[in-house]
Amino acid sequence: MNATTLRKLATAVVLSAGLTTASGALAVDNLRIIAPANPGGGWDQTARAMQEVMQSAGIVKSATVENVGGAGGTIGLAQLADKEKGKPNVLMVNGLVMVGAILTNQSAVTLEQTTPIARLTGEYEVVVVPASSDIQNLSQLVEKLKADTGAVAWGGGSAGGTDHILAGLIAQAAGADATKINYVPFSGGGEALAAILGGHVTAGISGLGEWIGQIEAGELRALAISSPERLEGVDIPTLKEQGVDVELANWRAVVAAPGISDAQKQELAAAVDAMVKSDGWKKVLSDKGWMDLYMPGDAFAKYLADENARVSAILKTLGLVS
Amino acid sequence: MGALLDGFATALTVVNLGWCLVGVTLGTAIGILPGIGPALTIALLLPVTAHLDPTGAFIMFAGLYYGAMYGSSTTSILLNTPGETGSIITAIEGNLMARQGRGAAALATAAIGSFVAGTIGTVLLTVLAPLVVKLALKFGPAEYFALMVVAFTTVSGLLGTSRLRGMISLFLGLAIGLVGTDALTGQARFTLGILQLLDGIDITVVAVGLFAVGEALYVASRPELRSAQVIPIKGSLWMTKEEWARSWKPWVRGSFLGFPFGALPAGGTEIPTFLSYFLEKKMSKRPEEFGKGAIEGVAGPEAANNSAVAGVLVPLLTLGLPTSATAAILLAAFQQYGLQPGPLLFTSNSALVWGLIASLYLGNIALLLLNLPLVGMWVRLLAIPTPLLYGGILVFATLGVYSYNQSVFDLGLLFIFGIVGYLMRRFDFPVAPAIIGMILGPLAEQNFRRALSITQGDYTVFFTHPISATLLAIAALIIVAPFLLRLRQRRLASS
Amino acid sequence: MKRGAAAAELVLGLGIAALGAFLLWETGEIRVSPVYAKVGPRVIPNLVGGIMTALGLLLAWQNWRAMQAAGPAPSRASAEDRTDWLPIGAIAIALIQQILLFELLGFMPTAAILFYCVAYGFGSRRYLRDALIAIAIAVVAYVGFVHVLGLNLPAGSLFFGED
Repeated sequence: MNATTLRKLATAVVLSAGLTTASGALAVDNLRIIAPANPGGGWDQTARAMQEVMQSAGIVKSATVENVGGAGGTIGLAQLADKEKGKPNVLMVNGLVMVGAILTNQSAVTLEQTTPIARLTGEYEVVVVPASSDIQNLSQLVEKLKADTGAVAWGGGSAGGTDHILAGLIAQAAGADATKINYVPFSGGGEALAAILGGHVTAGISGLGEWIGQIEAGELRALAISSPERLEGVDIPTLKEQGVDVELANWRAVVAAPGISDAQKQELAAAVDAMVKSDGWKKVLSDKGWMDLYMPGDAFAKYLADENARVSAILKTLGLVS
Repeated sequence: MGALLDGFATALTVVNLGWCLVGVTLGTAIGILPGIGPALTIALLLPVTAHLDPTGAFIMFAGLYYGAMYGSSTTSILLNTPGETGSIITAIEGNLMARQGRGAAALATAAIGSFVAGTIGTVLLTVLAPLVVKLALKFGPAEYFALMVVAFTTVSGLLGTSRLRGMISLFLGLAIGLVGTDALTGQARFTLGILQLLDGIDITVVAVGLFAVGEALYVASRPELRSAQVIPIKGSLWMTKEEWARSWKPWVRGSFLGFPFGALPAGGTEIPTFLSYFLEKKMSKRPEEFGKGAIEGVAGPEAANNSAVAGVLVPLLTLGLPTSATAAILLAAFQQYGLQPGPLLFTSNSALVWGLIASLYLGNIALLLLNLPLVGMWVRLLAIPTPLLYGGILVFATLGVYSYNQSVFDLGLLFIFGIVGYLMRRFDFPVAPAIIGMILGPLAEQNFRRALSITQGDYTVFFTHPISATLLAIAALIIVAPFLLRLRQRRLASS
Repeated sequence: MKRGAAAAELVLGLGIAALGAFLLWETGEIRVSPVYAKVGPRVIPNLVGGIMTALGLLLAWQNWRAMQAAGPAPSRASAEDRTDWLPIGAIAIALIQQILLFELLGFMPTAAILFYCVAYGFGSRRYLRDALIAIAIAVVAYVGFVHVLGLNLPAGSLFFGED
């Protein structure tokens, strides 16, 4: 299906949704967006940006954001699956981190118990070394990793998070023993950054946006990026072109409550689709430096299942889940 | 320096001063609420301020930040209810002063001390930023662990009447700090299968429970305490000459202690307050007054937490490295204005950076000017009849604790820690060591294990790194010195 | 001396030791993953649990000896001072009702009840004045923090439905 047909379809859905308004109030007129995190973080910012764009573009009458933070988003997820079940006007932001958190926290509720709507944005990860490091490129790092896996200390975010997952995937793809990687989790990007700048760890992994300033200033040397192809305007080679066959996006998406009808699902999907295509959303993406990774409908449902399988496998290898 | 003056020129407009006033007022209001801190408030205000010009927004944030700090010290001193973690230590001596009718003096020494610290901090930031940041980067996990060991020795200054009781309190705090997901291996510890405990127990819930709720239960249960009305002011409203004389050195020492801690990526504002309290107790000519309302115990820690705030700006502005929750939000605010955080910020947007530094300083001045005259009014809070005062404290304590995570579960935890706080008071256990254990425990454990993970299990790392070895030697000295001194005195006495 | 105080402390010491033992037992439940880490997730919990048990036993032992000697308690214990249970009960009920009814009734009613019960617990018997102040504080706090700051406080699902 190409973009034009998709848009036509969406318009049709919006129109038909508009028709139903005549007979009764549209369910998504009073949209509630659950951010399964405390104010300030990426999921919260996504939820608030959606609220702002949907309201100002007139897609919904009103939208509210509710923060239900904790346990990598699984508390919000539990609420969505239980208290919000069957409600047609609720969306929840989620992402790759939640896939990991569901496994490590042994959450009773999984993403299968939600109604997938669409992937929205994402960010790719960079592998860096301090400028003073004698490692010049990815193959030198891979050599070190193969020679003595434990001697390479990786610095990054929390255990089982995106950075940790990527470190495991790289080691695996490079032919090293991923069960032996020496990953040192730090709380927050700032602490990991300081440990790398100070040369306390060998290499670091984080989202591109978080460290781009230090890379451009020449304080960090970027060895590779986890995108499928080189990004426009970013002079960092991909993992793939350097012989490490790994792709990873730290994506963010929206899902709806379980137990809603197909028509209700289409209504929410149309609202999200209209939002993604609005100028307001484009402005948000460029202001915040978010990558547009919009993927609606069944394609997203399949993607979610694939990511789930891939993340479980690597977390098992890393020994985080049994 | 010239750049800083330009910064002041940018910041000093009537409109901006208006925003500063809004920020300070709002900040004081949220500072009074435990749990709701400047980071959360700025996050909530970000969408609103998107339409403001950057300077105005940052000035408002600066006012908000200092206002919150000051509001928190106010409730610590007058109501024994710390609003932010940086003023937990303030509650110890400050509240005792307030009960003796010296609340106004405690508030004044906190306000002036914060101002002195802000001034010294701004000067250090302007002059020393590049040097300090180099030193801060030398701190790896081994160094942090050694630093935590030094911080732990300060507990000895807070143990109270019985060492055993103090140690039990400390270990209670350490145990609470262990609850949650293990940061290094991602495994759940002591969560008893409860999802809400996976992120650990928040320090504000514990502090408010042990301090405010525990205190309310205890006071209510004692007829003689319940009916005792605190006299708001005894003697002069202002600080006496003696109080000035006893305050200024702690202000200066606290300022120099706090600044480098703020600059450390995992330093924070709490640890320098512990160290400052300990240092002032050791240096005081009247150490016996500590624990009975010593003004040095308010002046030092208050200066320390304020200059730590200026220290936080060092890595933020020179490296784009946020070292506190508020710094991370400020970074997000920068991004909102299309400014790329990172080392280039200083050169590419120097006007704004210096404007920010100047506005933080202006926030500091505004707070002093606004609050010193109000000290007399704040103190009269204590004249509110005890039943109504405690009713208000508990309403705001629960409001703050709930808002932090929007979780009724936290209200349940608050109640449990309230009972623990009541029992600790009733059986004469000091509360402060539990708080210290809870803050330092996780940091010490994580850095200990990180250091050993990086070196693949080589324990000598703590002694081969020069900074770490020095810090451990200092810690050993702090522990051993009192014994040696006593030994020497005994020998002198016997000869 | 206060035999009662020492006895209470003895029980307290045993309670602390039991808490330490519980920590040790729970530490055994922590999954040790094969993740590369030289010091695993159980080391520090074992240390904390072990020392806590020892400290609790020490406190119990000191007080047991004090009871035997019938001498003064090793430290000032206030267990024999007079304790009023009514105020503690009033405040505890106030806090528990808030936990249970917070989402159903919303912030305002539960906060007003909390305020009122605490004031009552502290011995105030001016019922009308306290009630009026309780309502005023609850309303002002709600309006101030929800509408000015944009915090989310429950309005009460009983009155305003689920949302």
